[in-house]
Amino acid sequence: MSQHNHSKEQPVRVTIDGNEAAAYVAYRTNEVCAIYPITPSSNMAELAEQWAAEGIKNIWGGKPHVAQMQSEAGAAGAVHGSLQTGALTTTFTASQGLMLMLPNMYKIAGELTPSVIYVAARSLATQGLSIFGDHQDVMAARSTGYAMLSASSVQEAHDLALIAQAATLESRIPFMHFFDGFRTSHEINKISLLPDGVIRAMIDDKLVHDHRRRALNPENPVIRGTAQNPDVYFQARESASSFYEKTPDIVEACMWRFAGLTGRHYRPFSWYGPKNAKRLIVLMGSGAETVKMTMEAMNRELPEDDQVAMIQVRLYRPFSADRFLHILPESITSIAVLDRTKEPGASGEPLYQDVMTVLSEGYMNDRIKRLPKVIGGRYGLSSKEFTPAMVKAVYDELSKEQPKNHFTIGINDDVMGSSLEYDDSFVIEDPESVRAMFFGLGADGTVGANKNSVKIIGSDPQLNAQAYFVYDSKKSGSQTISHLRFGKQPIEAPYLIQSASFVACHQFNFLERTDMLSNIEPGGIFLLNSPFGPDEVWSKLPRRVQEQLIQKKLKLHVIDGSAVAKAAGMGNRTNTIMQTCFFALSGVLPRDEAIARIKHAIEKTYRRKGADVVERNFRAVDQTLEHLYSVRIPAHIEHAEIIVEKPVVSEEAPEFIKEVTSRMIGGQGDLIPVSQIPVDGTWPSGTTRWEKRNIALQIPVWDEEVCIQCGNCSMVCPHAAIRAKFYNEASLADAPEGFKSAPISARGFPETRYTLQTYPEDCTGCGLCVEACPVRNPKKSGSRAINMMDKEPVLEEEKQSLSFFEQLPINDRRQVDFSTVRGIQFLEPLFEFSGACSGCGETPYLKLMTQLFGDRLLVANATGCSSIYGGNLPTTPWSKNAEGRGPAWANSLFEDNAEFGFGFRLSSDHQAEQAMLELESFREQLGSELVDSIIHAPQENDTDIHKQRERLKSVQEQLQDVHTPEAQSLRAVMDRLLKRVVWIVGGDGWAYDIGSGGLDHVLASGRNVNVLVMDTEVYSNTGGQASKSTPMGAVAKFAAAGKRSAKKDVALQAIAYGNVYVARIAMGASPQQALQAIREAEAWPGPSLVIAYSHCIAHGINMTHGMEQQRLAVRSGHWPLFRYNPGRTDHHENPFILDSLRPSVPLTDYIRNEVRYRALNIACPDEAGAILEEAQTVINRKWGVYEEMATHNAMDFVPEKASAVH
Amino acid sequence: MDLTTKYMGLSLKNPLMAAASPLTSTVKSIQRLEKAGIAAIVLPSLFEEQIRREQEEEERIALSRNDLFPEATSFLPSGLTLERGSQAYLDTIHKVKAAVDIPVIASLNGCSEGGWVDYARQIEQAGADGIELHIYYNPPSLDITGRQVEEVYLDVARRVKDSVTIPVALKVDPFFSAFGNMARQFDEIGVDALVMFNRMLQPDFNLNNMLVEPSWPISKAGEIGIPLRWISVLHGKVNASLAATSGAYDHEDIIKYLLGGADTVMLASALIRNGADYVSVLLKGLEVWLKQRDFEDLNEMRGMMSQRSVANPEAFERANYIRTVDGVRK
Repeated sequence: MSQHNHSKEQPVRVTIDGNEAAAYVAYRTNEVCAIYPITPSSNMAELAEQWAAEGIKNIWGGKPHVAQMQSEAGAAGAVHGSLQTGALTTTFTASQGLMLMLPNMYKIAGELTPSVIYVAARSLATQGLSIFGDHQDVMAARSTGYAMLSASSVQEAHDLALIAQAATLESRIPFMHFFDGFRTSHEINKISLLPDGVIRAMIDDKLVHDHRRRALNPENPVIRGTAQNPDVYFQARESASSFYEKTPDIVEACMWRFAGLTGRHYRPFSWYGPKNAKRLIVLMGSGAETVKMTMEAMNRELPEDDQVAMIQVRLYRPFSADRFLHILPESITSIAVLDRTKEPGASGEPLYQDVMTVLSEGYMNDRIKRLPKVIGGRYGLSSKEFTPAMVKAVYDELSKEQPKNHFTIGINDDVMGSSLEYDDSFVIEDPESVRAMFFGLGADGTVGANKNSVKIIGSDPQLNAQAYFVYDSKKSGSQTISHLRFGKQPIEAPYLIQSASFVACHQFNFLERTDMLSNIEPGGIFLLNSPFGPDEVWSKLPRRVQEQLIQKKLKLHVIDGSAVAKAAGMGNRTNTIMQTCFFALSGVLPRDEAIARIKHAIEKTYRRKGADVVERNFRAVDQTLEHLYSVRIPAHIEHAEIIVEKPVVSEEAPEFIKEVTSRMIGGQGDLIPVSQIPVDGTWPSGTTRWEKRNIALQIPVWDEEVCIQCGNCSMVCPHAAIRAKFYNEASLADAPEGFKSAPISARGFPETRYTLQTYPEDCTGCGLCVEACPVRNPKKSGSRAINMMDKEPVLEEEKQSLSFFEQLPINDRRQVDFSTVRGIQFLEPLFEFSGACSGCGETPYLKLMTQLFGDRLLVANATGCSSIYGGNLPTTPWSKNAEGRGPAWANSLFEDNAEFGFGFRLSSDHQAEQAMLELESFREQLGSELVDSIIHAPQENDTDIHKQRERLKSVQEQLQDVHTPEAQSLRAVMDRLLKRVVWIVGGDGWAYDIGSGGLDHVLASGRNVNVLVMDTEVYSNTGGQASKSTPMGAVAKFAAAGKRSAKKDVALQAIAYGNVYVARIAMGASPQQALQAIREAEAWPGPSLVIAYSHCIAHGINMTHGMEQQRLAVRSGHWPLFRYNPGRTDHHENPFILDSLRPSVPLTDYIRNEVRYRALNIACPDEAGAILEEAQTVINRKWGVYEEMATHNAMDFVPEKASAVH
Repeated sequence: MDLTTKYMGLSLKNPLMAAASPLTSTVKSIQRLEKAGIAAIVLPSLFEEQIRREQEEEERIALSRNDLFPEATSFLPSGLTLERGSQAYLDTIHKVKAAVDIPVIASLNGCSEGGWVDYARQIEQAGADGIELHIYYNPPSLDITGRQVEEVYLDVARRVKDSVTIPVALKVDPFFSAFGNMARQFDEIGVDALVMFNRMLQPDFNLNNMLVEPSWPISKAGEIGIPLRWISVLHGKVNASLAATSGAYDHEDIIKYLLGGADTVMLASALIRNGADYVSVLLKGLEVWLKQRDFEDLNEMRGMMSQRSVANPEAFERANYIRTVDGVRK
């Protein structure tokens, strides 16, 4: 924010996103912010916390207090308390977060407490979670009594924030100020920043004082929050009605005042279009801008007497019927009301219902002479695109005699027939503007460079700029598409670019899988980052691309970005190079000026990093221009060998994968009709295997000569892309050439061979396996038993080896030693090829869990990274074995996961008991021996499990022809007699913060549930906000000046129960201990808690060295390894076993490799040293506590009997 | 006893300086050295190469985690970009300067054209009393000629000298075909002191993991020969101050260097082995020796044994070698 400080009260134009625009006002007009991260609102909270850490002041000269809470429910509670005691208080949220705030919102509104909640509106988790924009969350909160103000653009998100703050003080009604998640919250656009003087002028201090006067105050005590009885509650509920009555007037007055100060006019309902228009669309949110632009374009073509118009709703609650009727001209004959939400079972969506009610009432009261035709429709759920073509379809529908009511637009609803058809070719882009699309890879800097470009160009007073970024669903190797618009006119187009004037492909290999020229305009510019020069590139292009280049008469330019980067000393960073090409070619600015600007920006960015860095970037710019070539495009497709695109999934894939999933993978998911989508959120598991993503440039290659077959590499592989099998040597008869095999290194198996196989197209190239390999080849410097090599040269051979390897039988689980790392490499992983970050520190634990118990595993997964890489469509990693068995996985919410998994246990146990009951009734028929052996079967290991399966199979066979109701009932529950393993998994944000209460309760239950906390010490999925697990001294969002308190010790908390198995593990430090702990946790018949160190990109580490960081975390004492096994007390042994050695390196040895700690010196240079010293002291003391516990005897721990488990 | 010494324009209370070593890396240990009597210290080098590598690594990390997926477009508070590690170094200069009274010389080990000048200026601004430039350019190449190597040294020295006003010392290695002439060329550029000589990290092989590892460049007693020869040859023939840096372990080594013509003697290995207080032992030894021979100050004895003054200058000639060998044979 500091760069926005300005002494003069002249409006400053800045290029920022919607979140920053809203947070800017929120921060300046509040005294307390209670925060919690949730996409897409997190950035607002992050900025507030950061500004506070930087000491930035609000308009009263104070520094707002920003407090992170454990959940949105906690944030709402803190907001309520802070408001009750007189501080101006706000919070920021979205979606489920808003749902958690609902109880307090009713209270805050019921008590007429002025305040504003900022919402980046987002879908709710229903049949599936979605982080994207729609109005389901705010609509679910519309009955709370909050006023609702809806912004449609970045500028409005900024302006209405101030109007909300002003109006709430005057009306005493709390406001929800919302704007569309992502489309507005994440769109970068150029806006006029409100000068402090305007903010000051809008906020009336007298009203602030009134708020303070109403606060709880022992000097003048009152009581609030009484319990009311039937005699007065109803009247009390009605007592505030007049306040709602006045609110629209107050809002409108604030809007007028605001217009007077800024020249920007808003109304509760704004009319756009000619006064004699016939057809009208009513809506709110970002879609309004699209409708406005379309309406204007249509009216230019339509006859004078058939014009169209729009009402944009800004003040949705209280809904001012009066105003609505007032601005509605008599000429309107038909109205479409668009809702960005779905209210199943309702007579219509909320805004539609409001409009209908107002119109009918208006008609009944003679305010309007006739009722226009009114239809309601749904659009844009979960950021579904809402384009001018769709708007036109809606207007067109309104011309029909019998327009379709309760329609949908933007999808193909072939089940209920609700959808309107639309013509995609209707495009209204400003031809004067530059519309640029960039296709990049998640980690290639394309998005970052584009954000930079927008800022550079936006800083030109003559130019406007807009940017929006689309990501695919994976965390590694994802494709990003940047949509940038530039022009002299303000850019109000809240939808993806429909017709591009410039397309850049930053990764040559995208050409084959992505059709990126489908919407480039004729004569447009195509920039290609190509390893092939201007003379050779043509023949390397897929046929489709060649056709498009010729047909659309495109201008093709190539640059070998990687070569230029290397030559300029930029390593493999091509972002500046591609950015320079854009500046040189796009024509946004004259070429020389553009280059001067980019150099100026480089100087500004890198000046502090040293003159040579600036020089290096300058050199890159100059060399870029020298190596940017125009390509001559032939008149016809002339090359004989034409590259044809490969099918998205293999022919062997199941029908659903080929029909549905493959289209989602191929970026055609928008076109899938409703009928093909599962009705209840149930999707097939194990689909990642069909998506060969091929994102690694290098893959591990096995050296069978030196390998000791220890299994470390396959254990640490986060993507299950390295697997091992043993088999009889006779199997090798059909092996393809190049298939590697070695005699198994075990005595007594002379005919048994061993193979370690890489999955070359699924590997992400993280290199963790190589780091984990303990072998040093004595005959080749630097070589191990597995080594990273360039993929292309070995790909075909590895693929053939893999097909052969896959045909080799999976090893019999009964022959595998489950107790060693060496043994478990032969167990089939049922969690594979996830879209987690390359080198993820969490997934190896999940994979291990599936290897051990996958075929009878129930997984409850807290929302977070693991639910995203575990359950984000199109393809999911939880898979099944050849018998069709595998982990059954579900994600409920973020806050309730322990309880959710606990439900799995209750239900499984009950059904198992029921099954025993049912089985009893067949005792005679089946024989007591079989029935008893089933009921009393030990199920401790895979041999036991196998036997039980055989018994159940025998029951199944014996009852095959019995069709009595009793037999049906038994069959319905019989498989529950196989012991089910319940694991509750999630991250530290869940376990330490939002789910802490539930977790505690479940651990206290004594039930046989297992909890795995994959502890990254930060909210990883939402971008690195601090949790109570974040260690002292680490810098994180929400702890911008470094975390000052020590990490919470959940292990000790759980140990205090006495009957909970607790372990702290770190696979990189001791894979054997990790394995042992997970097995012991499962074996313990009561609750278990395993806390697993998970290195993470949020730590700012080189992920290849993730396991080494785990080792250092343990060696430094930051992460002591231990197991608390209550079962040991039965044998009078100390249940607490310290598995790691006394700290042998200082904390600094561990943290110096992590940016999160290194940043502390920059965040607070004066205190960094003392904080880290304190952190070291905490470690030393903590170690003392553990060491002492390790010397206890069995009776020293809490008296709860270890056997107190159910 | 007057031990005062002039070293590249700086007034020192005696000729003993602490060379860049772990002992000069913290304020505390520098204060201990000062207390023990050290006359000036050289801070450990700002390794441009290292900083650049760290920075590249950081950029790479930032790139690999920013804008990866829509929920998390970054993982650190915005605006918190890591600055170059040089800032910490510059802060150290500030702190050390505030904590001690003796001259503080910063050292700079660069590798790029821009880096040298840029950092030298920053070091000057940070308040260092002088800069010691460590140049080691010895490419493992069969193509680069001796002259090209020399040009690199001269060019860097010239550019740094031109960019700052504080005195600039040059710490170099002796691996030139004609070091004497190189020294003259450095002198002509205006370098304020020549520090002889740099100890290089030399490769060693780790026989366990079969990788090349650098070996610890600590000097041993008795290693004063090469610097002693060149100091003795240069004394009186160049304007630059002369500092000796290798193998000074006891007061006799120091005396020999001074006799050869060194203005100062820099200590590192001897202090690492024996601790900071060893400075006072050395000073005592020096004083006793001077007193025994009735020297009033160092100027009387400095350079007494230089090539220009010594009774048998031919001992510095190559011919002497044959006789030495003959002597051994006999």
